Order: sequence, then C-alpha cells, then structure tokens
Amino acid sequence: MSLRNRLLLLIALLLGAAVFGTYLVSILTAGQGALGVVIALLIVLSGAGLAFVFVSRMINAPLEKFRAAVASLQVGVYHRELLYDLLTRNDEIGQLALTFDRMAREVSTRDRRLKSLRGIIPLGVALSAEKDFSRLLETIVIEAQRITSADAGSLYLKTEDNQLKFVIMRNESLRMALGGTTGKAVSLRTVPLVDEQGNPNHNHIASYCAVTGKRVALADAYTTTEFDLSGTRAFDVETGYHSQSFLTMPLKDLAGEVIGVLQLINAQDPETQQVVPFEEDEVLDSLVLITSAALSAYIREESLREEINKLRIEVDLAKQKKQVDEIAESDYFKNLQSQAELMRKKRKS
Amino acid sequence: MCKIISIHSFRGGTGKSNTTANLAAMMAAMGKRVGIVDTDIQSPGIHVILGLDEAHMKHSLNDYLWEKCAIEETAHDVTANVGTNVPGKVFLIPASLKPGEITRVLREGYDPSLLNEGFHSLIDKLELDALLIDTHPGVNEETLLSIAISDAVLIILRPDQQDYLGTGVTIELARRLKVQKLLLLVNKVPESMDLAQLKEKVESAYQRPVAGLIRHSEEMMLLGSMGVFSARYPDHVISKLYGQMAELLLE
Repeated sequence: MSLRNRLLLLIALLLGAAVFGTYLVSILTAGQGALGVVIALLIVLSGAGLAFVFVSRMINAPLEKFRAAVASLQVGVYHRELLYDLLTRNDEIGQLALTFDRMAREVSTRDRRLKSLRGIIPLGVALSAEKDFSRLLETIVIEAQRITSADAGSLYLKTEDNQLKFVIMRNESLRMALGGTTGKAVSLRTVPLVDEQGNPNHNHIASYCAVTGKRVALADAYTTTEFDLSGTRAFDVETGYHSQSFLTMPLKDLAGEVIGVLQLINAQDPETQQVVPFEEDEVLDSLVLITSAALSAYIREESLREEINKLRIEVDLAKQKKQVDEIAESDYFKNLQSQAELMRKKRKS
Repeated sequence: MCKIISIHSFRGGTGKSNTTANLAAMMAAMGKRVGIVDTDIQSPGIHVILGLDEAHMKHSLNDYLWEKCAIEETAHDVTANVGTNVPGKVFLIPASLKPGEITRVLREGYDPSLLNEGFHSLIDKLELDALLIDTHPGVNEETLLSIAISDAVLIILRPDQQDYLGTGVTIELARRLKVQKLLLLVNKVPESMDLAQLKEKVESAYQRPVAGLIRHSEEMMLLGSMGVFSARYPDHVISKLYGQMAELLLE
C-alpha cells in the first residue's frame, strides 16, 4: 500500500474515531454531565496519541536510515545494505530509496575514478623515471587492471620485424603472472602483423588493433565472429578460465605510431564481482596516454643508449695479435727494431 | 734539435693529410721551420691542400729516391699558403703526380734506407725545427721506417671498429719500435657521440693520450680541400686545437 493511501486510511480512521467519540460523548453526557465530557476527551486524546506513534514510526524510521546512508556516502563508505529493507518496499519510500541508491552508487563510482585520476599523475612521473623496463611494462598492466577492475591483462610490444610479442600476462583469479619482474617468460607465440602475402593481419584482436590503431571492445568474446579467438579458447580449455569481456587498446608514440597493445579481459563489477563489459573510462584513457609516453621515451632512450654503445671499443685482440705478429716477425721489422734506436741516437749526436 | 713527427692512420680517408697541413701551419705560426714529406707515394694528396699545383713542381720525392736529384731540390716553399705574415717556414717535399712514376714506385719499390738519409740531410740543409711525415695508410716498410725514426707519432682514427683494430696494431708496432711519444687524434666524430665519453673510452682502450677529438663537419670538409683551415680561420676552436696538438708534438 502506498504511503499516501496509508495516510488517507489513517485520517479516515481518525475521523471515524472522532465521530464515534462524539457519539459516545453525546450518549454519556446525557446523564453524567462533566464526567462524561472528561471520559470522551480521554478517548479522543488516546486515539490521537496512538495515531501520532503510528505516523512517526511510518515516517521517522526510514528517514533515520536515509540519514545514515547520506552520512556514509559523505565519508565514502556507502553500501546499499544500509537501505536494504527500504529498497524492497513498494511505496514512495521504496522508490526514494532506489533513486537514492542509484545516485549514491554513481557518486561512489565517480569518487573512485577521481581518486584513480589523482593517482595517474604521480604514476606517470614514476613510470617516466622507471629505469627497469620489466617493471615499467608490468606496472602498465597492473594499473590498467586496477582502474578497470579487470581480472586479466596482457601487454604486447611491436618488434622491429613487424610482430606483436607477448611481454606481460597477468590473471588474478588464476593467480597467473608471466613476464616483467616475475622472471617467467611468456611462452605464447608472437602474432605477425602481416600475413605471408604481406596483407595486414586483421584476424587477431591484438594485431587488428596494432595494424589499424583502433580500440576493440567486446562484451562477450565467445559471440564474436569478427576475430579468430582460437588462442583464447585454447587458453580457456587448458586453464578452466572463461574469457568474456575484452578491451584491446593500441599504445602509440608521439608520432602516432603503434608501439604496443594493451589487452584487458573480464571487467568485474566492483560490488557483485560479476563479469561486465568494459566501459568508456577517462581515467583509463589518461593511463594509456601516460604509459605510452613513458614507453616510447624508454624505447627512444634505449636506442640512444645503443648508439652510445657504439662508442664501446672492442678490439679483437686475437686478430690484432695476428696482424702484429705477421709484421713483427718479418726480417725487415726485426732489422728496423735493432736499428731504430741507433738511428735516433745518431741524429741527436 | 729537430723533431721528426709521423702522422699516420691505419686506413685512408681519416683526414691525415689535412691534419698534417694544419699542424705545419700552426708550427710555422709559432716561428718554426717545418718540412713536410709526402711519403704517400701511391696516392699523393697533401700538395692540393698546401696549394702546390703540378706545373710548379720542379722535383718530387720520387726523383730523389731514383737518385735524380738531391733531397733539398725537391723542397717547395709553401709558406705563402699557410697564412699571411707567418714567422716560420713550411717546405713541402711532394710525391710525384705522374702516373708513370707512381706505377714505377709500385712496381719497383725503393730503398727505405735512402728515405732515412734523405730525411736527415733535409733537416740539415733546410735547418728544420720539425719534419712532418705524411705516411701512407697501413703499415708498409716505409711507414714502419718513418715510425721507427720519429720522435713522436700522431695516429689518426675515426670512431669505428675497423679503425679501432688497425690503431691497436700500429700502437703495438710503435711500442716495439720504442717510439717515445705516441698521441691519438680521433677525427670525424659523428654528432651523436659524446666527445668526453669517447675520449675516455679511447684512452682506456689504448692506454695512450688522446690529443684531440674533432667532429665530422661538412663545412670543414669543403674548406679543407680548398686550403689550410687554420690559416683561414685562425681563431676557430678547431684551429686552436691544432695549435695545442702542434705544441704537444714539439714538446
């Protein structure tokens, strides 16, 4: 029954009681005089008192719950359990609770994103200063997983011979971590970006992403017919995992060239842990921008270091000795050796 | 006391003749009487830098080696081409440019000891303070002789693996010939390389001092073939570097 109907019923009951009271008073006061009036008033007052208690229970108890929910939202610990019995109600209070819950969850999400966004700049600074390439790669995947609540994440790097090389692979629920600082290499094979005929490889999600520079978001990988997911299926069969939602993003350098591909799998609803599709996320966009910059800076620095390494003087000592010996063992040289000092001395005298 | 200084590189194209001409110019500017012998008989080149054209070549080193003339007759005064109001002198003993004479040297060779005698009478007759020997690349007999009789050897190398190996060979041979002073010049250094770092690496690889490092410069290449760089731009940082090297070699 809606709140309005309940109140109407209450008023009707009160009116009924008043009429009945008046009727009682008129009967009683006929013979009793003042006493009758007193009794009648007592009856009416107790009825009003009962009504007051009833109304306050109906209105105040939910208000108290809302107050608690608002307070918890303010300090960032809102949980829908706080409004649990209100949410199941069919009346206006129930509807209000539902609206409030929706708003509160939106606020919580925004709050969480804001916090992540604040963390992005220090992360970017840390990444750009990271000297350990393995850690740099690993951090990119871990942070992307954290922001999107993704259960799994992988990172590929584009190689000079136009392939995508698996460098990081992480899966939380399988407790799997390969590549990076783990010391365990990712044994999965590289993905060619062009096929044998030299055509761009659009078959794999990652290679499509690298070749076109476009993002790919799939709500359920098993229903897609666009891409070859045999690798994923084989992985799922082997591990008992179920890969469902995918988000695959290119990492580009400043010139817009794809240098790597970041793939996130199975976004989870933070509360229910259910696998959900990946959503557009500004924080993730920022992360991708910042990590791409850090990555391309590292690669650039690395190629510069290689250039500097050319300064390294590596004389093949065996070869040098052979050449020296060939000359030094000749009669001419031996003669010169014995004469040289003499010739210099003669000149000086 | 005249100093004999060999300027050598294991491979061609290191800028050896150019360096020799510039060092001679700086020495003359200090008031020294300098002789330059082009012993790169197979492919002479330093005369171009010192502005001596073939028409004005009376005699060449080849004539002396074939005993056609005395060594001092082959000396050409090129002081006018290493600057104005130069207090010293620069004499060039060129190698013949005649193809027939070049092939004859290649075919018949010559007596290296004659070369040694020639150097000494040149020093006496021209009263030289310094004799610079522009050697033939690699280590043939006359180059080894030049190194053996030198008071100082300047080895020029470019920063690449082939020159590194060849330089190692020459340094080892010079050590066995008991050369007193051996300096290195790293020439044509690409922009991408850090000079201080390169100097450190070369010095630690050979345990010999690097007297200078010069960047590769298109401008320098162009000017270099047209004349003596340090004579045209005496205040340029590279000219100053040649000056320092000249002093180091004469010390």
